[in-house]
Amino acid sequence: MVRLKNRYILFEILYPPSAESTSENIVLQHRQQRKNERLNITSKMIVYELKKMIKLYLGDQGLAKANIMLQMKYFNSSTSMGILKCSFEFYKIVVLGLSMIQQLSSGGENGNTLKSIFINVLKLSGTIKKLEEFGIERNKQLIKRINFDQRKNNNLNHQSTPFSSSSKVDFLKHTNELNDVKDDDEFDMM
Amino acid sequence: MQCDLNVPFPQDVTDESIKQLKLTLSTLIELNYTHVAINKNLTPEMYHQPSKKQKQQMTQQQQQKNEQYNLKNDLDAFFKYFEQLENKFSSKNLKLFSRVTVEIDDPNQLGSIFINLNAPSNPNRFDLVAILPLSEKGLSFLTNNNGASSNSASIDILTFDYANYFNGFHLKHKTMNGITRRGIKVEILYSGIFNMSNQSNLKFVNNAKQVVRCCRKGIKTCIISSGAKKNTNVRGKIAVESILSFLGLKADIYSRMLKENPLSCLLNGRLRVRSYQQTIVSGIDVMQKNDFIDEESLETVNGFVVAKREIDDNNDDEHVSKKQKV
Repeated sequence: MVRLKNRYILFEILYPPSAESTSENIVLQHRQQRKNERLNITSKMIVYELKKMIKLYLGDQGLAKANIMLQMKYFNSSTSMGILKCSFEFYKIVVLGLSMIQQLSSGGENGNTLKSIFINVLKLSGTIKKLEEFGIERNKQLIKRINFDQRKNNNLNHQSTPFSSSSKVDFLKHTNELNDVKDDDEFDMM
Repeated sequence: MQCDLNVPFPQDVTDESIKQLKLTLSTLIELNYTHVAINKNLTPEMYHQPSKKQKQQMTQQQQQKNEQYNLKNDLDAFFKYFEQLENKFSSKNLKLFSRVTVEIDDPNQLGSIFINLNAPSNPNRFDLVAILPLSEKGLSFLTNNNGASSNSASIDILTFDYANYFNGFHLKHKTMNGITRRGIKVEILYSGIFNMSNQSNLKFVNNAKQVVRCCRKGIKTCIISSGAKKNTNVRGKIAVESILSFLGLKADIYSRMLKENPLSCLLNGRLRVRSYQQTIVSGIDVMQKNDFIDEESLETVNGFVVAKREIDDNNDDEHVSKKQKV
């Protein structure tokens, strides 16, 4: 009797800043979408792009291996963080596919809009719990970094960065949401 | 601690290209990189003055360009921008280093370029010196007697053009082992894998496999860096590791390629600039820039001038106060 093992991947989507971006803060630069390219990212779009990339680089065999137990466990578009579940043996293929993604397309009725992004893989683990703890800790550190930069700018009489207190509360709320992610299926017995 | 030893400096310096470079550096900060080298490429036309026969074969536009260009002014302009970038990013935990890559087509054209770059009297010396051979002759510059004896000490990195197939030359174990035994590291640039046009992603895999094959699997010889001209072509640590495992390398090898090999390469380069014959250095950290030393603390011991330093008292006080609190 052996437990079926999984791997969980914690990742975040970063929006590479263009020459037009105004904010000086590095954390905010990579987390704000451009005005004319704003796109509501869903987990479906990411999985579709991931499979496309795996097929491009590793072919049908690679895609078939990566498809085993591939499932998006959690994705939040406001913090742009997500947790992906995949098989224990072939997690390297999924990580390669994630890191190869360069743009997302919305296959909607209004036609395809492409958006350039890249995915930063933060941590790999065998349990969701560890990823949750890591994600919450990381988000807290990010908020600390933003606050520190803001304070520094205020002391130097620079313009304050456009990150209002209400959006900070939103960010914290979504961070706590990570706690509720659970693995639905019970241990598979083989 | 993460290193990226190749961020290309734009060939045509404009406001937009410099802004793009700044954006690439800020993305590297976001991905937790700490040591970054900015690379200035020198093509053969930049350092070689053509003979009369070659001038006659040139078109008028090429002749005008050749007459207008001045290598010294170009390098001065590079260091001016480099200082600006250093001042901007020094507060953000990013250490910047300068690097020059000399493209070699024919070793006879080189002249005294390496002697000028590494002259101790030169106020603007590069931290790292690299070579990019464009032909088999260019690679043989590192192995033949003249090149090996005079220049081996001043060269840190050997790179290749990964976006194109190597120009009709095949890498051999013998030549590459001879080069790497002298401490020169071989560089792999991963940004080619993201470029779909012109089949450059296929060429990257082909070339990188060839390099790893003849460098003893790259355990102590290879380093990996981005070579990204856009900020979309930079990736974090786990993503780079997955690319290397895609090339067929094992975990113990690629972890060395990411951290230890580039750091040793950087140390070698910095010691060449900062130290006396790589043995005697002033200061605590060789990587640190503008290390300030009081003249009062200098003493002469056995004919050498030694800088003595006291340990900061503030740190000790903190320790004591923490203990008292406990």
